[in-house]
Amino acid sequence: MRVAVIGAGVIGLSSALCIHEQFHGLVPSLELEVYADHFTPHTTSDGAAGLWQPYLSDHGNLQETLWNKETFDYLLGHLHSPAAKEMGLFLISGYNLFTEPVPDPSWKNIVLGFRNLTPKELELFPGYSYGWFNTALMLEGRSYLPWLTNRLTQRGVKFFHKKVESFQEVSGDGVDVVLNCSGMRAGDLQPDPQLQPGRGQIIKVLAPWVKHFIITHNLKSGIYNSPYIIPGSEFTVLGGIYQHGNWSEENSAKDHKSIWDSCCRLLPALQKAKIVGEWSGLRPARPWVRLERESIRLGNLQAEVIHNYGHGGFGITIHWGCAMAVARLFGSILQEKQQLASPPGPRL
Amino acid sequence: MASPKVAVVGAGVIGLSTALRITETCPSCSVTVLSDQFSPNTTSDVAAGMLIPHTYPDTPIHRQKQWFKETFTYLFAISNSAEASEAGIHLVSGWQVFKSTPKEELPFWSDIVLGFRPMSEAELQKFPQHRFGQAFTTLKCDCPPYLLWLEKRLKATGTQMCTRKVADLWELHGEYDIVVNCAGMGAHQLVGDKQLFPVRGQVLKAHAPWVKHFIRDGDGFTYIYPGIHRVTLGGTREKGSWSLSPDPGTTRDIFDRCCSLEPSLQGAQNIEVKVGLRPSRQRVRVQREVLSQGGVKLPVVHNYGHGAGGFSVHRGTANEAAHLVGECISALQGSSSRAKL
Repeated sequence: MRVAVIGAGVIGLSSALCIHEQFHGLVPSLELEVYADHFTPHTTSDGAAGLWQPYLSDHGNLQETLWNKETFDYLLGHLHSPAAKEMGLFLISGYNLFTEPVPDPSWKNIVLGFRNLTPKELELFPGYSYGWFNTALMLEGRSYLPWLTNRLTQRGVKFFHKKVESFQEVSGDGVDVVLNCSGMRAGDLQPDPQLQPGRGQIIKVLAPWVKHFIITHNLKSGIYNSPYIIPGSEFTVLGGIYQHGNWSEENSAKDHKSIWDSCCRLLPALQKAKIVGEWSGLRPARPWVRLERESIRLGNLQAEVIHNYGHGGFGITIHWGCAMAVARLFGSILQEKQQLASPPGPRL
Repeated sequence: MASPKVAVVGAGVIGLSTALRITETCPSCSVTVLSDQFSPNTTSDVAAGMLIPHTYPDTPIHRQKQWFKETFTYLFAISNSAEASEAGIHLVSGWQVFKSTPKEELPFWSDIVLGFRPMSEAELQKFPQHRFGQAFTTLKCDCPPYLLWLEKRLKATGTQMCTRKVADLWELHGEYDIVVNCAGMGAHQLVGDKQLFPVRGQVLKAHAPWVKHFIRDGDGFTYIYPGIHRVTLGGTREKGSWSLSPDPGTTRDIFDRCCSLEPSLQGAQNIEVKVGLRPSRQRVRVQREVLSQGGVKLPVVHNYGHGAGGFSVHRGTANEAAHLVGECISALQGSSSRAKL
């Protein structure tokens, strides 16, 4: 049973690990291969700050809220494990700021200690009259992706550096299942007009005195188009750009100025921070995540494709819930192919 | 008295902040800071500088609360300005956890720090040995940056800094009109205060930049305070011990206790051990005194004995001490105008 995974961002690697963890014991012939044009530290996931936080509204998409929760709980469970530091996993608290009252988010009971901001706290942020405080998690891609890669390598998963141009390319030769975790470039494998880039740009600074995330919201300009500050373990990420439909991965001087000016206004102490880098990336945005099976006819062969892409600006936030959903779909494929007598579960 | 000459003895957080306040309330004063030690070799440099007050048994609570409030307000404004990183002042959130529910669930300072509330059940799961906790956001003054920033501001006002061991306050008579005694633990020798006693604290300073929260056991012995570059892991409270030498067994014990509160500290790097003697007293001595010897008078303002709470109340006691200095000046001016009659 050969499985080809396309994509080595957080989605591809975690889906691969989840499947291997759940099925390698049950399916001795299971062989996983990861194909990608970019590996860490050059993936979209590496550019993300790594803060676990869904968007403000799930637009009624309860499935995604559940996957977010599963991811948070899974990570929280690993917080005290010796692997946490290597994974780039740690707790972080901070502020979400608004210019008017807003309804509580779908994730208020998933995070820890969610509450509204007090008037004295709001004094810190002139121009904002409402906000939340909560404790969430950071999962830094620069650490998590290598950690996932190491776990997969230990398990005998093979990696191939290549740009896959079609499902045919990987699905011949005894590959039964393809995991399509190609993120922004899923449209190259199969046209998907719903998948659009949500371009972001960030400035990396040294500001080790910043211990909280600060995310502002402008309900008119939309998510992440308002300044945010996210402190990591080595440097702090300044951002606030979300340009729908913009495919450019070049840093823009105009965006740089906008990020810098707005973040320094938000946190005057940043004026003394040293800039150590800048990055632009494309959030693979979709009205909802595409996570589903598809049977693809390729000549006289049939391949099962499991799509898992379109996680926008919340890939890290939702990744493990999606990986487990992918594993369930994989389980049903195995059942159909009679590779499994019954679904994996406790043995009698 | 055109330009009163004020000597401030001591260059820890109390001496420097008091000197600075005096330059603010008495611009015509000429201030000199005299100390045998300056940053990074003061007791303050060892401290984490967390704004979590220590309760003094014999100082009225309303006075402690006023000191804390003034200090918090003052530092809050700096933390929110472009100077924050240079001054070493930053906000930090975290938890104070208790193995058994404390008698006093609401400390006197709960409405001064930000967002104070009991921890939820979900939050307490991170601390399986503790059954009650408080979550809040407070400020931290990192040393040396804060002391260096105070020194810089003092120099800008023309204040002189002199490395000098003052063995007796009378040494300063003639050179200075008023002496402000911020000698901390040194006051034991300097003014013979037997009510002042050391409470030895050993701490570790470690590199663990993923630790973004403070964690403090309500018993006061185990704490994790993340600073700008390093995390302070503590500690001990050894009453009456004068030893400034690090104890290796204590180091191991502190590390183990902190790791049981925050397991990820196992990965901490570059651990340094430091020791400081908290200059402790049942009540902080903020008081005027006129020393008298052979018909000669020396006005003194005392500001020492802050023990474990120096950073938490430093600006408040500096305000009070500066006010007392003002009273000394009025008294001197009163008596000098009487002398002219």
